Amino acid sequence: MDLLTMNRFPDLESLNYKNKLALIREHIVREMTTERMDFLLELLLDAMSLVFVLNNDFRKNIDSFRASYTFRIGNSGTGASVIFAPFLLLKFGRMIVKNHPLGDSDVSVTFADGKAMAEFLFSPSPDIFAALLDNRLSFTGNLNYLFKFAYMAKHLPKSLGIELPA
Amino acid sequence: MPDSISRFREKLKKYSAENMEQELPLFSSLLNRHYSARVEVDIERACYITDYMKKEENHDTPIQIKRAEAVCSYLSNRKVLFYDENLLGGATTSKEIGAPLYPEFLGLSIWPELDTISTRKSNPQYLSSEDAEILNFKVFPYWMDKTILELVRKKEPKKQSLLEKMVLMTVSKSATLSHTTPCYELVLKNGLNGIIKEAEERKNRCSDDNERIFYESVIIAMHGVIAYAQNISKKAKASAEIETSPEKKKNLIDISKICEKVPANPASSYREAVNSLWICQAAVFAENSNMAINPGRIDQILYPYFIKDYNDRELSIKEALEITGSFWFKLADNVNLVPEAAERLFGGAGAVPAVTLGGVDKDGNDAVNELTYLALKVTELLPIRDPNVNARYFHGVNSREYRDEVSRVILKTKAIPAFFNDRENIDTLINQGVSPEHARDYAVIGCVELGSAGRDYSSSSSIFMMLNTVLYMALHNGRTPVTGDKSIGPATGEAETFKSMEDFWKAYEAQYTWMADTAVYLNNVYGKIHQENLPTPLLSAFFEGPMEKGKDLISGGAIYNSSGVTHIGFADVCDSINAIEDVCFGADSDMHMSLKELVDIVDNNFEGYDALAAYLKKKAPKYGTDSPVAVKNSKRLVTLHYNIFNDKENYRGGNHRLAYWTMTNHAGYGKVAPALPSGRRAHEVLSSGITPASQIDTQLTTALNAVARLDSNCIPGAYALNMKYTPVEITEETVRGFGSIVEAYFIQGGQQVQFNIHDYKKLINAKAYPENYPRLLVRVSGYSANFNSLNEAMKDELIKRSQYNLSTGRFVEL
Repeated sequence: MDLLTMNRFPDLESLNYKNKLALIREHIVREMTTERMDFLLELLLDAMSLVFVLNNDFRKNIDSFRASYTFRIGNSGTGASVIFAPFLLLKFGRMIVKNHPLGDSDVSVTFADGKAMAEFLFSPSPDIFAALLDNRLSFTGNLNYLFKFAYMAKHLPKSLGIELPA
Repeated sequence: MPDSISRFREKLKKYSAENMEQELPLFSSLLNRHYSARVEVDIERACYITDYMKKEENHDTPIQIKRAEAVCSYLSNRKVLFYDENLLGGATTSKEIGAPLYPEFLGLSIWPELDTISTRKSNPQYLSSEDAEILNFKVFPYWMDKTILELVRKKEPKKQSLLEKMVLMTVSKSATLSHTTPCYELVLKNGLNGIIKEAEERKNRCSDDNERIFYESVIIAMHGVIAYAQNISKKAKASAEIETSPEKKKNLIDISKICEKVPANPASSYREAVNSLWICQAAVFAENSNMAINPGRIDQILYPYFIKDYNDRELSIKEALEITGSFWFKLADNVNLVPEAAERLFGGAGAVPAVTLGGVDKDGNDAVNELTYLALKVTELLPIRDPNVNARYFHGVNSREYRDEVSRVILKTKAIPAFFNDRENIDTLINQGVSPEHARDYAVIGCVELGSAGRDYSSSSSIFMMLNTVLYMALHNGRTPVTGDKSIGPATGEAETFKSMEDFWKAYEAQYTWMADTAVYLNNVYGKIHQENLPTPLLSAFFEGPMEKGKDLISGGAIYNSSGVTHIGFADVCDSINAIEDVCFGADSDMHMSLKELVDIVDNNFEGYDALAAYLKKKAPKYGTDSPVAVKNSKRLVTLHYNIFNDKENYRGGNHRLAYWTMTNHAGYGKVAPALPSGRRAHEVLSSGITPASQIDTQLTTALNAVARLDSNCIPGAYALNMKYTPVEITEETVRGFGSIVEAYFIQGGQQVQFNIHDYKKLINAKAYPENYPRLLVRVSGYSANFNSLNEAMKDELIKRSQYNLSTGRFVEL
């Protein structure tokens, strides 16, 4: 499977899924100590896609789920996208990550910066209302898809064994 | 006051909070259970409705029938549980205190917190991991593309995105189908079988297919309610058989007998009537969300049953108290499902079922009776958040003894009930085209709104207008705080182009008109989506109009079809306009400056201009005082708002009823609102309801008169005026003094007033040491709440509210 961070971390290529996830976890922990958390989005999406591969229970969340998401950080226009599309024959879900925004996704989310994204995705009590009002988050599309993604994202810290700042 | 009522009142005096444990042990027991029960998310309805809709998805059954059958399926199969010794059968949910999840509305908003909602810090709502899994894998996926919010977004993506910014306005139809008062009198009189018979006769007579479908849907829904009552009866009988306590066994047998009979058949005793009404009310929540669906004028509806039993010596006062108290606890058996993100706006709110007492009858005669006093006694004895009890008072028709009894209960409970002025409220409804007879029979809806009970499908919380944003747009050429440099309102010019107050008013009017047009348009889009997806045959059966017209409530079946429009930030905006007039266009202000200068300073949150902020906050003309500028501007504002909405029609062919109540929104929105010319700095809470800004130095009567001066014909949805008094010893003199002040305010034209009899110190302590105040009830801005359940901003707002000394009428500074 393709990972967004493969170019920046070539070591990933030779590792199995479990070790890939372990290495990405380390990078996430490091990235979360930076001011802007610029690469957090890519790392998180990679981590999520690996967790879906490794964790059968978690993968049930996307077994029959079809949706596409575009995520942007800031106004730069750069971003990444995610497509959830089940393998029809095997009847289990998969998550495909791409290193560019999609033209027509079900949901398009723009975070002011990586920190805003981390707050939204990792906070035990994400305040979407405040994030919208403070322009730290904007979105177009189906809000329910955003709710589902937030639910799945909130499982990531547990899956990765990451302690979040209070 | 008739002798019989005086004698009855004397007998009621036997019961007090002090002797409740001995005289009314049932109250003590139910009260303890109520406060020890945890709030749980209830997914039972969501599961049944989802299963039914999945099954029927590809069938071309008319939506009215689908909806009725889905509701019937839930009612016929839902669990029946008896958690305590309550004398009534039936419940809103399967939990002791349940927060029902409505997936067709905003139920999916708790998806991100399925694993944390049980343990969150603020107002946790327990959800088992099994139920969370059912929601995640079975319920929510089905509704992802079908919620009302999503259906509207697909239709109007650009307009919907305006709503998602939320600082402009809110259209509540994405969240709810509610805020109205059904008419249960016909159920009590004819039973649901009577309604079914009427629907069948009408169906057989009519030739219009839509009408036939409507009657059929009513019949299906009524059968669902009857099936639910029959199941309660069977379960009560089965439970009685294994119950060892003789008292509990008898209660269960009684419930079984009662629910076997009602609501299918007419009620013939007080207990049957109350249980019949309650089962119908609980059944309404199977179809409509649990927000401000009100039992109405219970002292009128239930009186014939009460007085017959009482006079026939079939019912003692104690028994009547126990039945009525049981009803209170049933009304309090549910709360709204609130996602953490919405806690800021709605935290601490109950479901706000409003009970209305007293006032006049349909002919204008004194309607206060023995049951009014009995309900007041129950209110006094049971300090619980719901029901939201409201006392109507018509000075000159209702007795002074009644006025003083309501006052005494307020002083005793320190918060409940709220007082409503019949004279003004009836007149304002008549001005809306409501017949005098129907206007006199109004009941309070949810917080404070007015509607002719069972005739007006009032949807009274349809639109929330953020006045602080209107003001901001008027001063920034249509830009808003969240749209940055982009104007979304009409181009009305930058502040520096305004040469006079009239230039400002023109800009304000244009921006308000734009926001009103947008809100009405969106509300109507939502209304159409409701019509296409959420018909309400069950609720329609409990209104006058739908059966006669053969038309569902949401399609305009009721006699009156209004939509409510409430406003947030009235006092702050009024004071801001006063400030602009004073410092920018006034001849003799101490702080004269151009409007451009003022706007720049305000936009910079008064940074470096503390003296100006202090002047604007304390010295500039203030709404709530008798300053001529403030009086003029407050009156102009309410008239302007009214005139702009007056010619707009809603999707049911009805009008818009303007109101000024804010729940806890003024605190939540205040936290994200920028500074205002009133001297209010960024992120400070806004003022509640129609209440003057906190901490302005004014006398009690001056503040009351400032509100009473507003033209109540321009406020047909009513308002919440929040007053805080220093606690006093309850004596005949203080009670009379309290009542006299309310009466004088009503004579001046006031519509409503509600009280907190708590001083600053107590509320500050309650915030610091919540464990010492587990049952502290307060009035928020339309409803009651447990102080501890409110968010920080709302607690601070309650603390800061101006406190008045009842004896001297003087403002007490914080």
